[in-house]
Amino acid sequence: MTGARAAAGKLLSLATTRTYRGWRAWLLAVASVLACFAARAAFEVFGQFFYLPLVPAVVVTAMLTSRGPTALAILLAVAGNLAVVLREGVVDAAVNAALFIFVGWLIAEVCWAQRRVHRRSVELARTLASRNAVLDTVLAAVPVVILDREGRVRRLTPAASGLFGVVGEAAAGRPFGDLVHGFTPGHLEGASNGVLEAPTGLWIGRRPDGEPLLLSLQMGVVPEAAEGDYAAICMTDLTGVETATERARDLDAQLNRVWRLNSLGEMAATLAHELNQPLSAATIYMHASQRDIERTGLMGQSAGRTLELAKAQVLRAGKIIRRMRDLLTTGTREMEEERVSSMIEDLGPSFALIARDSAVEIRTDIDGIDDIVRAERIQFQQAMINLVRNAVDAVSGRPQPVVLITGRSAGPDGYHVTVEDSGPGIASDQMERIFQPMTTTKSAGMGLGLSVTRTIVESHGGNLAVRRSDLGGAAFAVELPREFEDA
Amino acid sequence: MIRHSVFIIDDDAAVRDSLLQLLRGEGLRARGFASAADFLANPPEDRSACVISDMRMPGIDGAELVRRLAAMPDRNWPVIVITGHADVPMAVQLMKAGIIDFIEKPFDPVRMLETVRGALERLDDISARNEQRLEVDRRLALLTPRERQVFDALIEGRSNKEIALELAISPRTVEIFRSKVMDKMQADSLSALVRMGLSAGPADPVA
Repeated sequence: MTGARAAAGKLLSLATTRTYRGWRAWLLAVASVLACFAARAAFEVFGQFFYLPLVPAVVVTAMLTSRGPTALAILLAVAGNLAVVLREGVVDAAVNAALFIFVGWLIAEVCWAQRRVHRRSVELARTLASRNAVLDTVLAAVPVVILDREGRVRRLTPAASGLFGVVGEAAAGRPFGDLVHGFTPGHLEGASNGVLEAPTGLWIGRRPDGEPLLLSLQMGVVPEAAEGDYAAICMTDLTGVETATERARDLDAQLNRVWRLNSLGEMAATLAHELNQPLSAATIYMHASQRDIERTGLMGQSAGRTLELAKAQVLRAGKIIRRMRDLLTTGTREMEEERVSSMIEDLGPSFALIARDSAVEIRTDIDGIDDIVRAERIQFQQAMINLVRNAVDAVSGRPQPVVLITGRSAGPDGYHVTVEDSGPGIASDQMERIFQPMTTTKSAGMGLGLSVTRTIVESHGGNLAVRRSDLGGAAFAVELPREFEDA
Repeated sequence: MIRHSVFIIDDDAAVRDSLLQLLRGEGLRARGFASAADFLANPPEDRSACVISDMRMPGIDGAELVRRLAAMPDRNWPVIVITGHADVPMAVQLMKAGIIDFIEKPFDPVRMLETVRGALERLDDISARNEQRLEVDRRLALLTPRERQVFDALIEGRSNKEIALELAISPRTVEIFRSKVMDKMQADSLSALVRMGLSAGPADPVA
């Protein structure tokens, strides 16, 4: 019996791995029938055998080949039997042959069904194994905690232990609320698969070292929970992401504040400059007429004194303007040694936002070698943002809009940053005028951007120049010196 | 005596015109230019003059003008910079570059006049000294070689006897040369002669 089981097992495993086709199949059918006839002949000494010894031929052929060769094997077996065994009559022979054909085909069908089932199970086993491998890898990397119905920790993946800074064994049996602030078993009640809403935005994890841990929780209820497992909770650590977004938001807010102050200062400076011109002219004219009038004698002297008073009032207006401007301009710069590459790197999220909103490609190519300059970080960043915004405005809506920011060391002379675009460029007769405040080519805008930018660059002892870009548009070059006398 | 001019460079027509009126009213010679480019394209012939320039101008600005004027070897043009946009680092840089004053608009015309007068007086001083020097040089050129030798010895403070010994001539002859030198140099005393000797020599670079 064990021999038969072994033979069956071997045949089944052979049948799952391969199916003979073409001449091999036909040969196999013929060979297995011949082998069975040989066996039948060998058993002849013990008694009378008819179709029974030929059944294995049908089974083997059916298992290892397809319908055609199996039919051949059955027909060969019938033909052989008819030739070898002497029957009492035609009816006996015909009924026996028909019975064998029917039983043989039945066996063959059963074999094929068995083969199909076996093949599928092998396939399933293989898929399952590979899925298991993937799952194992994922579980090793993803922080997952398994809870029971009461919200107590049953198991932690290594990543989860790492996240909370606890050993798996130490956490087992403790309420999950010990690890995640505000989590109660109530959260499991009635919760379906999906994201678990935190009471306030994000879940806050507790670590022994007190470091903040911001989490998003994804729950899955374990179906037909075995051994007390009830829910699997997958955690995503958002601390890094939140910090980065917060920093970007901080920088943005800071840039906005600096921009408001800068533009206000620029407005004041422009206003002061523009008003001081007519005020000077008025003072001088008054002085000149005062001199003329005083020469006319006594009458003139009185008028002269009045003019002197008027002149003093005009000078007072000048002083008021000056004081207002001094209040609004940022005053002394807080210069530090800064790396240009780091200052521009910080602006990455802001650039990404601008690029997304305007569908413009912003490329940065800042050489980090020898890029230390004296600068006030936020002001320099403000200048860069201004130039990039201008460049983006110039190219948006044009085919293949590109803005390129390049930074290169100019040796002892300093460091040069260029912001260029593929826009229409600036007409040569506009080149000089664009830096003047209240000059703008845009429909919306006060025309302060470039003038603020130039003020910033000049307060760094640098120079802001404009030329044509190889990309077709304008190229604004910020040339920062290494050292300058900070007055 | 040369009368020095004042050149006013400002893109604001009212400022320019009022300054011209002010200076002319004080009896000074003044000319206005609408831009530094105009001024530099056709610089006046004057070897020395006072320049009043605005700081912020389209094209060449005040700082650039100061640099270019400093680079002109044959001109002595002290600059007063005026600006409606005071910028401390810029002021420091300009003062270091050698301008005489940095005045914020609007300014008291009295202060401007004082500054201009001061600049002009300094220019006058320099020219007066140079004129004197030229006169001495002209007189020295009239001396014969022998008289020049006697002149050189006299201003070194030597006596007639010593000169006679050095030049191998008689003290009497020295006496004759000496009176000829005094005549030609128009010196009424030995001390006047010595003063001329001190002021002679290379003139100030620009006058």
